[in-house]
Amino acid sequence: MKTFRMIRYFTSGILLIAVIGITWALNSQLGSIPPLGPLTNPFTGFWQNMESGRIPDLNITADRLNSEVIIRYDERGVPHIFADNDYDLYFAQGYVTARDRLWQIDFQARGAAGRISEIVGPQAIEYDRAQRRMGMLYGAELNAAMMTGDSLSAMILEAYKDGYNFWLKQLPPKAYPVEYKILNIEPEPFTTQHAALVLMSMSQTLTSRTRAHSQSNARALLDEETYNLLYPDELPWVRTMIPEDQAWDFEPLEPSRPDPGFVPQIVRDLPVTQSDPDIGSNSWAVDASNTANGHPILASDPHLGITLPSTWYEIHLNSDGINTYGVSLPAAPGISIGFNDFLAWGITNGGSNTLDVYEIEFRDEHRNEYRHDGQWKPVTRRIEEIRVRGGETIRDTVRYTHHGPVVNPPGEQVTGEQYPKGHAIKWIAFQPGNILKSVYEYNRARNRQEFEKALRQYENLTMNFTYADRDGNISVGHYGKLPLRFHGQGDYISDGRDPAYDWDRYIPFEHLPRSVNPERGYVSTANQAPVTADYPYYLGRFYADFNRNSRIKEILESSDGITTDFFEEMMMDNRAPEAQKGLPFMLERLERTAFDEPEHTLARLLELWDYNFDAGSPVALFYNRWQQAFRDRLIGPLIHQHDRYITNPDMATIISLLLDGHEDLFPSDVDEALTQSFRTVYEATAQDFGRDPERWHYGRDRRFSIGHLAMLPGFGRDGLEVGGTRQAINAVSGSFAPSWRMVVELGPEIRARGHYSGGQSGNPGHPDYDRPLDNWADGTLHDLNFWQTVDDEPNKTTSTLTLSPN
Amino acid sequence: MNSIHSAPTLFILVAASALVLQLFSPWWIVVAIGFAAGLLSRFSPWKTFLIVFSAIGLLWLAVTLYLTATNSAVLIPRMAALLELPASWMVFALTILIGALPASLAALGASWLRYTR
Repeated sequence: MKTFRMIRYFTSGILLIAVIGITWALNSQLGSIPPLGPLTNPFTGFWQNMESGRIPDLNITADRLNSEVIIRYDERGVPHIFADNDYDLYFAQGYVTARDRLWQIDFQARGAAGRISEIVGPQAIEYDRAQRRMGMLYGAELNAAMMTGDSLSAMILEAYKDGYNFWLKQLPPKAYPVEYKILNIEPEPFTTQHAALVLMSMSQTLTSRTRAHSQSNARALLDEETYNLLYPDELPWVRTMIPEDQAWDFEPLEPSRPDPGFVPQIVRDLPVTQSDPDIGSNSWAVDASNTANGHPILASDPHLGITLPSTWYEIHLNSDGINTYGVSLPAAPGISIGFNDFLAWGITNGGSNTLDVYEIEFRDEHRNEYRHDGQWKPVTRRIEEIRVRGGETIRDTVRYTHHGPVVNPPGEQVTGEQYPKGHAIKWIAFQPGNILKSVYEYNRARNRQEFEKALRQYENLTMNFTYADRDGNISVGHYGKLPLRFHGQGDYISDGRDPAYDWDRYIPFEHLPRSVNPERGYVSTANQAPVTADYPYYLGRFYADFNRNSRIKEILESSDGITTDFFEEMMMDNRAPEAQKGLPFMLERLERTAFDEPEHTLARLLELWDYNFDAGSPVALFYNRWQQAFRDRLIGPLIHQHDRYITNPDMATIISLLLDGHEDLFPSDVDEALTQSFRTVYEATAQDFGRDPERWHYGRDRRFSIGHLAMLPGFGRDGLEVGGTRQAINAVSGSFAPSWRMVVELGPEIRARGHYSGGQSGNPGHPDYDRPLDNWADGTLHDLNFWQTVDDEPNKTTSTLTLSPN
Repeated sequence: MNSIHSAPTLFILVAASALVLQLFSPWWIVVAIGFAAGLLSRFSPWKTFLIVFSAIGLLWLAVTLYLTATNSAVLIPRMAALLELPASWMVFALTILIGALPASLAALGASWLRYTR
């Protein structure tokens, strides 16, 4: 009996210890597996993040407010903020944005700052290190200091921060966004650095690319004639943003002249592989003479790498001196792209040289001094501390020259490195600037003069702004603080020793390229070259090719009686002008004698194709693959023999060379390259989607997907059936796509329509998290409720949030 | 210490105390409740196990079903994908197991300590 009891106690003890063990395990983070107990707990876990989509009416008291703020949500969850002073307005913007996008703001800021290892552990160290080494945190500190150093932007930032943190403070842990529970982290309060980090993140996407080293390599390794043909100063068929015949009636400043003897060293230690840049944006406007209703209409269609939650947050700000609607960047006070009572504006990336790579001569292997202007100058060392979850903190020393950081240390491998080792970079994102203040002012601009004045402070990004107002004016301009460059400066590796390469003077604001009310009645930009070589300053040459800009101009020049509906259709245009130029040649030269039946069918389908990358097209995907394979066969032997990082020549250039009879430039036989690549790509495509080309379907086959910001499986949207391609106005390609489509008609009453690639709520448990993607995919825009007063169209309010002072 | 002779009473006591305590305690409070139930139960260890398992399991199921019924269910397939579960219903099953199994095993262990034939 006693023995029996002993056994029972023993078993029981073992079992209870096991239970404690299981409970502990379920309560802990095990590798990348989140603590499953807290996560699945119906009382506090992810179940609490399921939402109905209804927003209840709320009255909330917030001490710091000056007076009452009314926020009306409409049926798509867009907050319309009615305040009566700036502080309250931006407090409310911070509050509502945090309510919908808390985790996104927090995670993006940590991602920009290179702090992901704190969340996921050692696997992100290389990512963090690359972010730190290129100066993301350094740049954010500089920019934050600029923003807080100005009393107006400091106040806006403070208000936004207070609103954000006011939301966060009352949030019980069970209501934390579900990603916090999955990643097992705590939310961080908003600091004045967050807006600067989001700006740095934008800069990284838009202005951190350079071809300097790959271009230097190409110039050094190819013979001069080949080089000049493959990489012409101006890409074929491009029509510049500013009308070609524009006169420049100012006295330009003279740039410094460099020592002509400088030849950069060949860059040997970067990967030879490269991807085609997909990024770009469109915007255009027509004046009253071209429209059905006699009012200007503006369209803006910025393309970005798209993820869920969306980059954009739609919002309406109404207060003393401001009634503005559009999209904002979560963490940045104000509205980036939109319209107000008087005018509308659109944005595309400028694409001028904004990041230069400098060859640095160090005094010795300690790399503490470098040569500049005939002297040895000391480097500044910046120590980056990378905290690692479940690991030791890493300390990395980055050397800064007066140009900027030496991003990649010689002899060390840094994952994802894009700048040559031992070289310094100088980046417009490190320049002093206060975009926050610029946004504040252009949100409130009432006419072109005020809009222009606001853009004076738009300094550390380069952007093209389109503009249209109710008085009938339209304009487009290229803005940003652009250094005074000698011809070609920045296109190749710069000499870090020679002061002529320093950015010591800038193009005066008044001299920046702009076109106001041009005779042709429209303005447009699609990241192409802003100006011809007649412009007295040098800006760069690696702009977008002719595809989107020529299509936009073609449509605008052949249309009158334009309506907003017409612009909406235009934004969904899937025509690829490049295919129109190149495909007839490719088909004509295709050697078809050895073809079997499906290959003949495919060639016939291509002959019938209208060059539109519509979702239903059987041949569009094949065409893209074929064109790339053909290019690789043609170009490969020419550039890859050098086994060095060299940018692929633009496809448009290759097509134009072929059409102009420059076939002998290429070592490969053109007909053979075309035919071989056709057959290889047919086989590969047949493997993927079946042997019968008539049954191929572009939209279905390419499986366009939108991933989650932290790449959580299941939290994105897979397999959206969409048309479009990089070369079309509807530039849906890879992970880049139109991120906000907006059309504004500037009549006596402003009428605007728009949509973006995601929902207002960033919560994956909210029905609107990804629901708007269906309308985004099929091109349906929504009417934007541009209420003039807090009482306008009361029946369109789905809920009201009132914030009151004590 | 009094012991509990009625199965419905034990069931209700476990479910009700879990419901109340979970409003302000971490999830593992159900393990403590299971342990206490095992000590109080007059039923055989395996029967106690079953009562506790069903009490916690049904409570968690009820709460998850209530939340699913009153909200959009879009999160559930996302969680299934995240947790690499092949079907959405398994998210419910997994949740219930994570709550009910440790609690009922604790009850089993506790009731072995106390149980006399």
